[in-house]
Amino acid sequence: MKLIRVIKGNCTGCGVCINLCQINALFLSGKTIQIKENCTSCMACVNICPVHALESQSEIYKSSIGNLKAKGIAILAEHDSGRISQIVAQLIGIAIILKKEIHEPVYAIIIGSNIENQIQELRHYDIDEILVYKNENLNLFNEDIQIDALTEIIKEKNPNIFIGGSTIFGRSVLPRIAARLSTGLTADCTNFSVRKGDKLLYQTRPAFGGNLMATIICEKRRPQMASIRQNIFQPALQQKGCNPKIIEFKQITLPKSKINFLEYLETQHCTTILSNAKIIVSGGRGLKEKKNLSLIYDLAESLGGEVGASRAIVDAGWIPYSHQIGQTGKTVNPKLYIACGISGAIQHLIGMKTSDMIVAINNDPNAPIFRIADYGIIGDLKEVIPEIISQLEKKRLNLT
Amino acid sequence: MLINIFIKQVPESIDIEMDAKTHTLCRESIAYQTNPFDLFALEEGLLLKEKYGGKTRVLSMGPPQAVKALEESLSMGADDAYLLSDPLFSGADTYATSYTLSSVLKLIGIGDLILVGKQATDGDTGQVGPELAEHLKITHVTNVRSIKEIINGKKVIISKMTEKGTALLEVELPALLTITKTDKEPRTPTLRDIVQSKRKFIDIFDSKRLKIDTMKTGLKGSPTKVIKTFKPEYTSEGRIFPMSDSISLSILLKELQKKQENNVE
Ligand SMILES: Cc1cc2nc3c(=O)[nH]c(=O)nc-3n(C[C@H](O)[C@H](O)[C@H](O)COP(=O)(O)OP(=O)(O)OC[C@H]3O[C@@H](n4cnc5c(N)ncnc54)[C@H](O)[C@@H]3O)c2cc1C
Repeated sequence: MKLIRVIKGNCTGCGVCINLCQINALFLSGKTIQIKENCTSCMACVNICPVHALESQSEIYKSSIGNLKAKGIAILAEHDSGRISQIVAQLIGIAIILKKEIHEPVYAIIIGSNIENQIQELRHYDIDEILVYKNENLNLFNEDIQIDALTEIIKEKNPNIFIGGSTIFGRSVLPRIAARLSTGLTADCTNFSVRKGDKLLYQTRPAFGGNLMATIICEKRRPQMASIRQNIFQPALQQKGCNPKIIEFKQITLPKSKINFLEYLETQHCTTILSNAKIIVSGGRGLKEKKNLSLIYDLAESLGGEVGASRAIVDAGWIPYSHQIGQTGKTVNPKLYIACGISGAIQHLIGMKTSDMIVAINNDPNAPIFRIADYGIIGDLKEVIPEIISQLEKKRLNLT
Repeated sequence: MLINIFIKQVPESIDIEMDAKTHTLCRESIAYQTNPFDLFALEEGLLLKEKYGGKTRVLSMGPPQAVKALEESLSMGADDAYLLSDPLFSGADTYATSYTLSSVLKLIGIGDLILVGKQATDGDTGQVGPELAEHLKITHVTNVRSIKEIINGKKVIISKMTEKGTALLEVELPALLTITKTDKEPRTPTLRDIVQSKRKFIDIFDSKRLKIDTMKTGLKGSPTKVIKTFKPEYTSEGRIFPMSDSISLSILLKELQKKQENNVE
């Protein structure tokens, strides 16, 4: 798309740009340069013109100048109940890999009240700086003022890359920060690489429920922002002898939040942190009756896993919505996913098909779930599950 | 109460083809539906109007055929509908999209409450809601499970789903809420609703009517660019066997036990 404009009064017709243009989109007409329709607005000519006779009409490009100073890889260190969240080690893991490629420092950003403990945890990672903002008014829910604080820190530090988790918190605050900074944001990334030279971040993410992967770049704006899918990236390990510098941002003042936390309605799902679970056992309509759900809980317990569900049994009211996996539920990515009495509708598969190992138990040999299963047992779950549990018990006893 | 509800038309099947050159959707030959989460948002909006009075508007950005989604919303009970449609809007990322969406509300009024679906099933980003709230400079809350009550037209009480459980929050209006699946199944319009809604008018805005800077819309106004798309491989050389196959079962059990031990560590 042609977005370059010639400033006629400036152009001397020197022709430097003509030689540079890779696609012959420039030519001389009389003493001034003209641009053909095949121009792709690569900006090469704009950058080389000695007399500033070429100009980009793109807003995006205009506001990028000056951002070339952006430096560093910042990660969002979210936390909960006095500890940094699981996603943080994964973010640090990526940041350390990126650092090897682009040779820029790694910063962890943490804000909140009573965060001494969390800062101590961060100190044991191989990062360069911990950027801290403490304010006793910050809580789990007043995201509006947390966004203010985080944006201020980012503005001041001007990092080249800023990544966070695609957790509920990350998915809420990151887009808003990106919009405030007029930069791009790539959601739910599963892979990163860096273009040599200009340090451009290639961000790869699934779309269409994982049916398509897209690689995305943010060329002109900084920071390059992305959220990462949980449990895809190798977490960094804590080490001895790391001594990140702690930089406190004291000068930020925040307005009063417009979001007021009243109470928890249900917290029993504390235990079902499905998106972080390594093992998930899920039940579907094949259970036939609510009471058979106990089979799912038993198998999950014997494996040390969590319980998931298809929409069918959520709609039937057998189990709360927070357990639903799939398009309108949660996306999970455990090491082991066991689907019991679940047919494998596309909407369910979307939520679990990236699991490392998928085991299906179903009495219908033609159930679609078998098409993506690594192991499938054709049989009645009321017989298969107790058999598996008893075999696992036996093996465990033999071991110890 | 003036409630603005944003909806998006998405492909019915998510098994789709991309244009190899432009990396955008091949829009021909696919069936469309309204994004499922948006219907939950609409239902929530319609229920609020029934309870507190006022008006519900549905708004969408998309190609001309997106009027179909708006017609569906009108037949479900929305009062007014707006479509933002212009070739200059196409290829927009979440930043350019939310900017374009914000411009219509700046013209016709933000109202008290803005509802959007938690995410669209095609892009799956969930970013447009929060980014829209930023362009409008209003508070937002994501992952809302239900809207409980409006207090004096000034505040809204909602429940939000989090990793820890469901939290009850009080939020000052105007606010934008992103709605997840709720317990209230979106209504199905009757034949009579459908016939009656035909009388309602869909107002179509292009870039000129929106008075919008088109350098900030569409592909051109998007900070991010898709440079490659590809189909992921999910190969399963699955081992499918009946329970009576004790050898296969014991292989599986060994695998399970390995996972169990790793999990304990
Ligand atoms: C917009 C939209 C969004 C959706 N979102 C989701 C979502 O997020 N998550 C989701 O899960 N679904 C979702 N669905 C629903 C989805 O299409 C399926 O209807 C649902 O997943 C089916 O659940 P199921 O597999 O438990 O039930 P069924 O499809 O009824 O399958 C039951 C299975 O159990 C097997 N079975 C029966 N008896 C036994 C037995 N004794 N032992 C072993 N196996 C047995 C049967 O062979 C069958 O394969 C969505 C649908 C739509 C339209």
